[in-house]
Amino acid sequence: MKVGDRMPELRRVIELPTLVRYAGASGDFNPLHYDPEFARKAGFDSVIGHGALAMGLVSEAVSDWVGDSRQMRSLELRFKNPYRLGDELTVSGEVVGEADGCFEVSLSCVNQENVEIIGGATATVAPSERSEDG
Amino acid sequence: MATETQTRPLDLETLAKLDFPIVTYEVSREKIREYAEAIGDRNPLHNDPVAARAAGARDVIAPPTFAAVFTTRPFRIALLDREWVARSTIDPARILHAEQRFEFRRPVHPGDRLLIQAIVDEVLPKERMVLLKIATRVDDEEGERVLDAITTLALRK
Repeated sequence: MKVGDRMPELRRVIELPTLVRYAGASGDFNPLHYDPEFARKAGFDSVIGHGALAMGLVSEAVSDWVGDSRQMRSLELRFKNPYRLGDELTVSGEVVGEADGCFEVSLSCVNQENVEIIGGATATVAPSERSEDG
Repeated sequence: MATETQTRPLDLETLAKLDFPIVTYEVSREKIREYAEAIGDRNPLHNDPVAARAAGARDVIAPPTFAAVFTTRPFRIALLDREWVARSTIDPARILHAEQRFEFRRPVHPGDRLLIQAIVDEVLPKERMVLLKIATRVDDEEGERVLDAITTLALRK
């Protein structure tokens, strides 16, 4: 890994079962994510996806690339825009820096219309070696 | 969950003093598997103890963002308490997740009994919303830090 390296893109289409499954797995049963009527009352045209699910995809793309999720030391990001059913999310990233023995990877997640779903995202990733583990 | 519009407007001083229950969370292998499946992560480190051990771990490893499952618990549990919600001036239907930061100190494994403590770090009024920054620390049973999280919620006016 070196500054300028780009990671392979991760793509995922979001359907209602994706959100229902995520709700069950995460315990986030906010009806905004599965009840269109509720979502309309909250000011959206239909249900929107969990921000934390898109965040999971961003993290997964990094882990897939480096091979071991234990190498990720920090992750920070902003949820810029909601995503909707049928959206195809694409996660991409690039190594932009190196500090304290870790690589800084700048990340983004956009939908098929290039609307930024997650932005201002950075992960710090330790180089590949067996992590200490308890 | 409340669907009616809150009559009481967001109160900044009340938000700054919000308290959250201290939560314990016991990590299970099946919950890690469910989470990994839900985000579509097929890395065997998350669902195959043999593969995880071969990689030097004592058991399967939770994907880093599994942290979202337990760091949100104090706030989520508070939202189930009608009195807490009424006191908070927050309308649960108008909360959005705006920003997230995690500092991972060590991997999370099945059997970990995590102590999750959340406090309000900052309240930032904006034109159309109030940003509520919640700082969450997660320790294990031995008192070792597992991770730190800052969760920023947008409370829409």
